[in-house]
Amino acid sequence: MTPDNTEPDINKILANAAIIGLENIGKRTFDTIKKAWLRIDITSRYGFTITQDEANTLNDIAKNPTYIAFKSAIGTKSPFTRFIKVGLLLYELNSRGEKDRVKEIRSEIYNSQYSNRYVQKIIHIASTGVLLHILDYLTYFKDTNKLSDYAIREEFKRILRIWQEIGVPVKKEDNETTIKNNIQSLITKKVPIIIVYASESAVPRAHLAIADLSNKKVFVGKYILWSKNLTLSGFNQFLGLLYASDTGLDSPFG
Amino acid sequence: MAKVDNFKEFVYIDPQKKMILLKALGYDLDARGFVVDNTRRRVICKYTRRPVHFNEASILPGSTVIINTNPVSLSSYIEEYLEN
Repeated sequence: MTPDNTEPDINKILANAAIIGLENIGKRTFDTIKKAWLRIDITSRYGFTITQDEANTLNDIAKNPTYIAFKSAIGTKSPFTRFIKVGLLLYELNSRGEKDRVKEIRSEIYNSQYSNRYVQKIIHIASTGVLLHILDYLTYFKDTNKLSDYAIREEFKRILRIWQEIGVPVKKEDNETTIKNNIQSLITKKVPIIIVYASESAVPRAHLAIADLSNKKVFVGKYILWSKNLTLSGFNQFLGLLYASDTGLDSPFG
Repeated sequence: MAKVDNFKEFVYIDPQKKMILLKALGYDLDARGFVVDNTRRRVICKYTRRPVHFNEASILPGSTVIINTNPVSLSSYIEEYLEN
C-alpha cells in the first residue's frame, strides 16, 4: 500500500530535500519536514532505523497470537516480554542462517546492563525454539487452573530458574529408549514439571516415547500431559510438557 | 506519549536523509558524532541510557524520540508505543 496521495509522503519529502543538500535547506523546508513527520492524522507512519529487517521482525513477533495471549495472561507490564521478543527474533535469525548476527546480539545482551539469570535463560530457551510453546502452555495453565496473573508470572520465573533440571531436549541421535529413560529419571526425581522438546527428525521419536509412557500409565497420579506440534520458522517442532498433578498453584492467588 | 496509530513499517534511512530529519526535529551533532538537542546536550537513549551516536540512531514514528539501535531497545520501543 502506498500512502494516500493527499498526504505528505515523508520518504519523498526527504528524498527531495536530499537532492537540495543539507547546507542549502532553508527553515521553511525543515518546518515542512517536521510537520509531515509529526502529523497526527497520517494513515501510514514509518520508523527510520538502520536494522529495518530486525525491527520489522520484532514488530511481527509482537502480533503473534501466542505472545499476545501470554502478555494478557500475565496481566501487567513485565520486564521479560521485551526479551521474549528478542529471543524469538534470535530464533528467526538462526533459522535464516544468520548465525554470526545471532552470536553478536547474544553477546551484546549477555554483556549488557540487562543481563541477569532470567534474561539469559529466556534467550537460551528461545534459541531452542521452544519458548512460544512454553508461553502457550502457561496461558492454558492459567485458564484451566483459574490462576492469578501473579501466579503465572511466578510460574514463568520458576520454569526459567529450574530449566536445566526439567528440560529434556531430544537430540536427533536419541532413540526412543533413551528419551523414555530421560523422562523417567526426572519422574523419579519428582521434579514439578518436565519439558520434552524436539525438532524436525527427532519429532516422531519424541512423540512415540511419550505415547508409550502414557499408554503404560507411567504419568497417572503424578503428571498431567500437555503436548503440542507446530511449525515455527519452517521447522517442525514438538513439545510434550508434563506438569505435576499437585502443582501447588491451585489457589487463585498462586 | 500515547501509542502510535497507523504504524506501517520500519524502513532504512540513509545517513544523508537521517541528518536532514534530525535537523528538522531540532537536533544536531557534536564533534564526536553524538546527537545533541537544541541546548547542545547529548541526547540520552531512554532504553540503553547511553548517549545516542548518529550511526546508531533510530528515529521513531510520529515523534521526536530517538534511540540507540539494538534489538532490546527496538523491542522496548515496540512494547511501549506499538503493542496493544
